[in-house]
Amino acid sequence: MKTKRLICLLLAVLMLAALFTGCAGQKAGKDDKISITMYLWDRSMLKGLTPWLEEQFPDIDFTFVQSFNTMEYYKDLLARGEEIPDIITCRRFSLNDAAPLAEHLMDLSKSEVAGTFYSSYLEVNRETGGAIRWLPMCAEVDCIMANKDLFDQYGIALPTNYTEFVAAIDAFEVVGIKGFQTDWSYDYSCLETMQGCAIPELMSLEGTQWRMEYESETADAQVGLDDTVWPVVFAKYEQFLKDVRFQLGDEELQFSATMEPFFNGKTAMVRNTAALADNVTSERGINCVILPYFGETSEDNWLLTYPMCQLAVSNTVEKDEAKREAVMEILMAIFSEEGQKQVAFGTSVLSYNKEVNITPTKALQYVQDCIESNHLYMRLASTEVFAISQDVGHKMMTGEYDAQAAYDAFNAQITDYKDPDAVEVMFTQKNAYSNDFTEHGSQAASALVNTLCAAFDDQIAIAYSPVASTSIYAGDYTLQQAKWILTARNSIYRGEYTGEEVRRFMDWLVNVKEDGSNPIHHRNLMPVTSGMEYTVTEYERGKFRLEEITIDGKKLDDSATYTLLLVGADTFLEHETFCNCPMPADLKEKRQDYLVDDFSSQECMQEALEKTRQFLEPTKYVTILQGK
Amino acid sequence: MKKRLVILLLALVLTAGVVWAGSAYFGFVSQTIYEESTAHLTEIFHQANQTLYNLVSVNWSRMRMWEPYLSKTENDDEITTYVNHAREESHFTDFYFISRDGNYLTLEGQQGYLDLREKLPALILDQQPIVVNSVVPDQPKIMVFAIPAAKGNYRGFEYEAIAITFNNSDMVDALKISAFNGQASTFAVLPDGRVVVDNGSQDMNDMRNFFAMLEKSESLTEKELADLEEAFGTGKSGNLVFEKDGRDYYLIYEPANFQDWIVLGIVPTYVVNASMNKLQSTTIIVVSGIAIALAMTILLLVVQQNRQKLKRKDNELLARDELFSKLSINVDDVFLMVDARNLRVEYVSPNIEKLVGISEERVLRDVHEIEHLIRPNESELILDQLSTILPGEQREWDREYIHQKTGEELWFRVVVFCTDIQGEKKYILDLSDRTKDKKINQRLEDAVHTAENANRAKTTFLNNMSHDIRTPMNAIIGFTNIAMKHDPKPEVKNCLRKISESSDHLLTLINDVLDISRIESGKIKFIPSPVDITEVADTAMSITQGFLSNRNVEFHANLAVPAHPYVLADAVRIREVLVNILGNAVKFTEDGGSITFEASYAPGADDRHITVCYRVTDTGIGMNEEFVQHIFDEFSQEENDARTQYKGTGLGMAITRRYVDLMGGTISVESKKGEGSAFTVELPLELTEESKVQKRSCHAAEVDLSGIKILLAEDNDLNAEIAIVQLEELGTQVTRTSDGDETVETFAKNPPDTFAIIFMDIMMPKMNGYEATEAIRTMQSRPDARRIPIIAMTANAFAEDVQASLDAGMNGHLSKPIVMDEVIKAIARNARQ
Repeated sequence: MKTKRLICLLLAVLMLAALFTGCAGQKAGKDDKISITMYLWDRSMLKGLTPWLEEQFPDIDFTFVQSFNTMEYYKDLLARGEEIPDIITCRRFSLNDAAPLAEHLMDLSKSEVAGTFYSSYLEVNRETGGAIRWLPMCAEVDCIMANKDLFDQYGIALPTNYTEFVAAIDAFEVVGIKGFQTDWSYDYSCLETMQGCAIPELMSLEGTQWRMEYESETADAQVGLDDTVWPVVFAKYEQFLKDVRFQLGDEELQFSATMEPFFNGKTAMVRNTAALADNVTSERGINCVILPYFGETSEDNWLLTYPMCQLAVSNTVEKDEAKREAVMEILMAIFSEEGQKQVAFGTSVLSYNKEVNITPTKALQYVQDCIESNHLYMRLASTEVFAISQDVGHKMMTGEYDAQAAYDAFNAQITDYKDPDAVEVMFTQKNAYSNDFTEHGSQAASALVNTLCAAFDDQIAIAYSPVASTSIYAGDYTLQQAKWILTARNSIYRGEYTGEEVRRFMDWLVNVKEDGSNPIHHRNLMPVTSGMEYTVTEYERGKFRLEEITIDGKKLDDSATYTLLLVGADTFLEHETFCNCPMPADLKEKRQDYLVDDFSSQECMQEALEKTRQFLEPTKYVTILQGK
Repeated sequence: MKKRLVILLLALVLTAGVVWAGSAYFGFVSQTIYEESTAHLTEIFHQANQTLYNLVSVNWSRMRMWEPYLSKTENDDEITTYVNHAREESHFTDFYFISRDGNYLTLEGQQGYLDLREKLPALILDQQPIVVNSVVPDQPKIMVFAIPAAKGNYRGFEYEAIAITFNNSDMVDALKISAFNGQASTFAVLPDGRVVVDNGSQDMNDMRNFFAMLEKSESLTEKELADLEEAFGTGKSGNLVFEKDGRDYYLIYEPANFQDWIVLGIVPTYVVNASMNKLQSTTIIVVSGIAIALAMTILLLVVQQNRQKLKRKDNELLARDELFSKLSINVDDVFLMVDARNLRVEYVSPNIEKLVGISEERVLRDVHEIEHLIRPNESELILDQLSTILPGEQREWDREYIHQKTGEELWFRVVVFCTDIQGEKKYILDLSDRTKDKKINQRLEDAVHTAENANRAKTTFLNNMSHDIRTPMNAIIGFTNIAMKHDPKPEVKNCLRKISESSDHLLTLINDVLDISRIESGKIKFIPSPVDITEVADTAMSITQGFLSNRNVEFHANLAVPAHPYVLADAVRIREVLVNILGNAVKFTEDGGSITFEASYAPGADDRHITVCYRVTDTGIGMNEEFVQHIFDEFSQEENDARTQYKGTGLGMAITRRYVDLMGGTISVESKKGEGSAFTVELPLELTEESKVQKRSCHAAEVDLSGIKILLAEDNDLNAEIAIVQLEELGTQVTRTSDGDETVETFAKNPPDTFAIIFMDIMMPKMNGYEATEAIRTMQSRPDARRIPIIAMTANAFAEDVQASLDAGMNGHLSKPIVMDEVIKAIARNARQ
């Protein structure tokens, strides 16, 4: 009798315990956020997509890292023993480029999100084994951006075929306006103009056959250029350079140098995207329209397109069912109509997804027939084709190569391409520093900024955000690998500032503005300083308040003067659609010079490392407190 | 408890059986429905698939028919008319002329690029017909059917292939299923599950990838999903059931026979199985109803039965209670039930006051009240012992109580049972009044004691009589024999002979009277020992022949010899039986008559026993029938002049009968007056081994005893004299002692081995024969003390006397009157050792 009672009592206690344990477990599970790291091919994704994702998935702890627009970057991560981040993106894509990553990526062919695509578009990304690991974002149109106002002003009709295009250039030349210009220095400009001028050939039966063959090549069986299509491509490019009145020296033109004349009405047409055309139209009041790459007749006109970016998922995600489900939901969100708008800013011409209806923007009004007749060419965009196009293109521009020589050189390189920056070991790094963001910031970012600060003998350096795109590893570094430490498209300035001005700089970079603009909506966007430490309080998730600033443990002297190195991208912070936090004008004015005119941040890095031959020790440059 | 457990187990087994049977039935029905439904669905969807295939193949066929006309016709308008006519027939959406590079021109003159991907080389270069899903911006999804064509020109557009397109919605029509009220979905999917043709019902409108949908619904295991993926990849057909949003669906899949498409048919199971489900659910409801009704009936029956059982039990309990109450009032037992934990009295029978003089209430208040019943100095208190009694055990005590009111002395038997009643330990005390029994027992014990005393007196009397008669008889017979040996005068000799005969008769009388008395008092025991059974008959025959020495009676002996004559038998008693019967035969057969003595052997009850049958027939005077009835009665003699003629006690046949009974045998008699009698004795005997049988000792006449020194202990001078005379006649040297002391002393005085044997009287003054024997045997200084033969020679003639002699350490026993042959044998056997 007693034994029965005892057993009943024990069972009751066990049930209660299980009940409470279950409740406790549920509560714990709810509080445990799933962490997802997403590497962004470009800073522009921080503009709309990432805040939108954080809003859509408040229960997911995102880490967004600005990475590079090349598969080589991810290959290097693997070579360093890292795992592929949960979600990666890259705009420059070809199947053969992506092949070495395949075994680290999920096959998405059976996923729900893949089902939202028009199957014919996904076929391009299908591996021979049937797997589909990369999903394309909506298409960007990158063709000829024309200042319609200028055409109208001079009574020049918008061209409808190649002959008219050349005639328009000539007509503008007559009135002292550059008919067509572009930032020839960039590899993508070379690649796109080279392919753009011969799209009918590249889209011919032989052209598409060759491309399929090339994109299926393996490391052991490299595919050279086709001898039917490609000689024509180089011949047409040679003619194109002549027709656009290319001048020696233009090959060094960069974005700003190209766009300034365009904005000022000195250039009628440039190579650029529909997105930019819309942007210029709305921001500068210049009526910009997109024109196609012209063929002999209007039926031969083609638009050069490429996906905004391609997205893949690490197969490590599959190990955690909850995480996998979360990632699948994120993908569904990204590829939804709303998600793609966040990426494309409403300027896309074509959606690859059945359920997404993106209306072509006004800038595309003159290429509607191309769109309707499906004359949409997707650029061939492997890493080597970018690099070789730049090399061969520049040599054609400088007259070193004629069409045949260009063909030969291109053909020779494409079967045995080696990035010169990725061959020679530049230095051997002794200590490794993680890029994981802690309450004292990122060690890798600190080491990077400390290196820049020391190399250029500045007292203080401030990077607008953690400009490190990867951890720093112990071991050999080539120049290319070293360049991947610092995020792309930063500017570097120097100036002399008082302690009070330094404080205002930090205030600009950290504090939420009166109108609600928030430069740091995520803690891993916290500025990185060298020669100076600071403390912030996170008083609300994603909102920070600058507290104390010290130098060598002493309070910043407001009256003292310091040489200050500034690293970052103004536009990102200042742009209305990004952070909308303009730099105080007086501070901007005092910002004396680009470190070197047209000296890119990457080149700056190279110069610094040539001096230090090492990424220097990191410091605890920031302390993040939680509070109110 | 055990029965309940069995019933519970049976109920469980029955329930499990019913559940199993129900489940098996349900499973069987479900499986049957599934098989029927999927077979039905497969047929339906196969037709849809076939329609789709027909659509494709018909289109190719039609285009092949059109192509020669198109290539031959140069007039564009005629071509336009022809194609428009064809469109009316075939219902395609658009007609395309396709160039080598994949550009197209429609009939209406629209140009564009048709993205045929890797199919373009197949179409143009390999001249293969193709079907491909393609996209033209701002157009619905289209399915392109293209065939290679001879190079042609339409409105200046050079083409190498022609194609017709269908909007996917047209393909959907082919896959449409009219059945199932629009709840059937059909899809054409790629092997990786991506949907190519979507004819999904409302339930399935969110399906983007079939596998992703299945994975999300989590209705299939990983293995099932992998198997399905493999089936799609390898173009296999099949069916299964999956669940989505809490609803089950049938899935039928089979390859589309073109491209690598798989055609899927999906219908909610409840739609397909509607009628079957109704039937099944009705069946289940009916069966369940019947089962429930049955179960309820059984339950009600069981409840009713239990109620009746409980009622019966209640009645029984009430009856028992009543019975117990009445009993407990009227019986001489007081019952108490005591809780083992606290010795609280839970029940005490109401007769306690009557039986022991303590009120029921007092005992109910405190059980220790019952301890006041015993005498103050009584050894152990029963209540103190209770804790040592375990459940299932009982213990008893006899107690003398004092009635608390009358002061009467009582005898009680207290029995305590320890029992476990539903986990609680109880003591049940039964105080049983045995005062009456005790008194009756005491009276009985007194009576027994008296009887035993009487018996002892009788035995003593018999012993004394036997001893005291035999002692003078020994002298009379002894001296008569001695006198006869001194060659008396004929008159004296005649007198001596008559004295001898009278003495023998007297001795026989004495022996018979003593024997019958001893038999009645149970003193006579049947003592079997290993013997050769043939010797018993031989001896009896020899004795009988002695009786016949001066008679003219013909004696025939027919003594069989068994294969194995060694048995366990009391040879003395058998011989006595035979000698009695044979003696009577001699006695009652007149001269000129005949006596026949037969011995035969038959197998016994088993192979360890035999039955010996002795038959004595004579031609004597015989007996009348009435006497034959009483022949075995004591003192029975036929009322005629035979008694005067034939001397006897009338005890012989009674003793014979008693001996035969003692030995487990039977005796019968057949007789006819004036013709003779026949006595038959049958005795069962156990066989024994030959080695255990003592061989017959030698004959006394053959023994030379001269020179042997004998120490004779005899207090009676006459008996001593007789013995000395007779022993010395044998050549022995006799030293006489008159009591035990003297005997021991004489033995001690003489050197060792002086005497070859000692004849020891028992009843002697100072020290009797037993004590003297013990004294001699325990002499440490004499090496011959333990080995010298000591033979009892006494008037104590009974078997227990023989045993007493042997127990005292003697080697043998001779009873008086002494028979010299026995004396000689005793000397020869023992002195020789």
